[in-house]
Amino acid sequence: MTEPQITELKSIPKSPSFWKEAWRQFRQRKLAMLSLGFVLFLSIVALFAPAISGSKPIVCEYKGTIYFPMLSYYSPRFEATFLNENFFGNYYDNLKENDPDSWAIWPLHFGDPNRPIDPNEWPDYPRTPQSSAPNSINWFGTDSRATDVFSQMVHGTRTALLVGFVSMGIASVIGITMGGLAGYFGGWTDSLISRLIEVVMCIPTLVLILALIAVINERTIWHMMAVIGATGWTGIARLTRAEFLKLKTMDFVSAARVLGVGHIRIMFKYLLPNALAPVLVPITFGIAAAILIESALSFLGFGPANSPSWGKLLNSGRQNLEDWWLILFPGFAIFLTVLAYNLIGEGLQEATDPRLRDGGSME
Amino acid sequence: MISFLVRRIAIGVVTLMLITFIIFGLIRNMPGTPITMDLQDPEVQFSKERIAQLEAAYGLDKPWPLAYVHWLGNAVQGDLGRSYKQKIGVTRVIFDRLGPTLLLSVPSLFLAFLLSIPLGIYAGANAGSRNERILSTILYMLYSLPSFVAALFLQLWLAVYWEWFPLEGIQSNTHNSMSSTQQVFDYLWHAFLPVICLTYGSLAYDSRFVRANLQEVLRQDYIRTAKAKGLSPRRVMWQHAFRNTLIPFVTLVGLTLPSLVSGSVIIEGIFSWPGMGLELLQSITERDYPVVMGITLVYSVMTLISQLLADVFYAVVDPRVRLDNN
Repeated sequence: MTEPQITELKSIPKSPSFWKEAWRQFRQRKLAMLSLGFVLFLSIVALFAPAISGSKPIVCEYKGTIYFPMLSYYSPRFEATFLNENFFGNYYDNLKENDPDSWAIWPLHFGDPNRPIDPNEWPDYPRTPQSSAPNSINWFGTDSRATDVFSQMVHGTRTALLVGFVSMGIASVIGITMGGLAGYFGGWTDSLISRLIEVVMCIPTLVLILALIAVINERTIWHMMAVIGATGWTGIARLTRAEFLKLKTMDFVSAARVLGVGHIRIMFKYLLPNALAPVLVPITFGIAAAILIESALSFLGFGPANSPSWGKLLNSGRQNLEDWWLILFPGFAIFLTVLAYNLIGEGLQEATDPRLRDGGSME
Repeated sequence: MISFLVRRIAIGVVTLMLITFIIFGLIRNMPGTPITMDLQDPEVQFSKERIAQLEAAYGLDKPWPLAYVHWLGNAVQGDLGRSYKQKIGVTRVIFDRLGPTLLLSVPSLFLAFLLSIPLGIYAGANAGSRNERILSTILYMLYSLPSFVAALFLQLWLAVYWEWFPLEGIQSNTHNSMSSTQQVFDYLWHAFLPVICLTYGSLAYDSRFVRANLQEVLRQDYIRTAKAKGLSPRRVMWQHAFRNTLIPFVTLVGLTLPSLVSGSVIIEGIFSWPGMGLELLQSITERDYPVVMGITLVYSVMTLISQLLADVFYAVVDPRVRLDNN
């Protein structure tokens, strides 16, 4: 029965979906695509950081069991066996001595983001010198604690990207919920939330962040993300509110309401997908801002003590201005990452805003 | 207009109380008090009685909501308290730090506005040309360059490597033995790098803003009309387009006002510039509560005033906007 209808429908060329069209527009922007490629590259570096630069084997067989010691950069339980057998971080010799049949696959670059390398830890590897300029062993030099800068840069990539995604994830959840509630329900809900947004926007951001961070006793990177997320949602909320205000008067929403669709379902299934494109733009810019704030806080010495960060490298560079490599490499990394996210945000804006689609020039 | 102002000011006062309440609660809950910060110095030794006495004097013996009410009562009467660390009034501290901050912020704001209008107009009028694309790319890169990264690069290059400019501080060691002209020159010489760092970002942002607005205006029907009736391109640009781009620009000027006084915490920190931003940073680490509160109050008041001014300016410049009837 239904078959003829389907063939009839197939004969009409389907118009491209909104996101397909947006992607087509986005792809035409060389700089935005280049930036997207750069962020993908950074994600790969962040994901495989311990395999790119570290002092622990990626994978090794020891006394008949396979271990992944590099994962101990994420959680110490992955090297529990080796801690119990008093390896003291020196894997190369200890593996050989304790078990001649053992084998290991090592990271591309030998170095550690958290500590200096001791002599004889690795064949032909001297003790890492303090404040050494870039050379064949320490590709980006070392800092005044004799820690390898390249290794800190690689592991710092993880910090930077994680901060961007997680803190903006938190900010998006708060912002979209707040803005959505205000825009959809209106009335006193709207006035209450709008006042709250105004108050948060008026608090000097850096004062608020510094005060919040100083309250925390033992700071970790997760605290920083929570603080940055909890202060960075106002722009997203305002935009979501405006979009919801506009969308809720449209016919398809009235139709849904007549059909008896619940409030929550209307908000998430009907309104949010349509409001997503304009809201994605401030989120992308927000990621750039979050990375900036994290590196600025670490630079000011308000960052967490035990995680490598580009901002922390800049901080040690500031105390030793002669060591240009402590400033040049992390400085460029922060700059390029912020630039890339800004370019992606702009590309997204131009690809999803119909008014800007055709280049936006006057001719 | 009057009813609008009254309503906005009332909302502003409530906002101000909320902000100061939040910040007061936060700083009182930071680990450590000004006394424990003093005790970190091994030479300072206090007896138990002395600590209790100091706590009473600083108001630390009261729970913080009570202390907040006390602070608010004094602040309404114009008394912001005394700095624990510097042993002088907070108002005095703020006035002492205001001069250096203005020395950086006034030139930087002026430079940014003066340069951004011609740059933005040029880019907007020549959209798509090769020069415009180069200019816009450079501006975009400057806009994305974090000011503290730029400050460190400039210090490394111009102060450490070439030694053309002083690394940090506001005056040379020999400042007091200089003639007054030399002293002025000395200040300017020290201010050069921080002013550059504060300027380039807003310059890039402002000129992009001007360009975007100009392009928006150029798409309007009245521009087509102006062209159609045979006006010269120059006249269309300056008489019809440029004047209308000024409307949103005025709002931008209003919103930048707080940065005039607030200074930049990071830039002042990097250049050890004794302004408001550096004072805020130091008073947070020293737990000098009255100073933190005083500076927060100044920042928030400036932000609220500038938002109000931006709205009022907007209504003054654009006759279509009426403030009263919402």
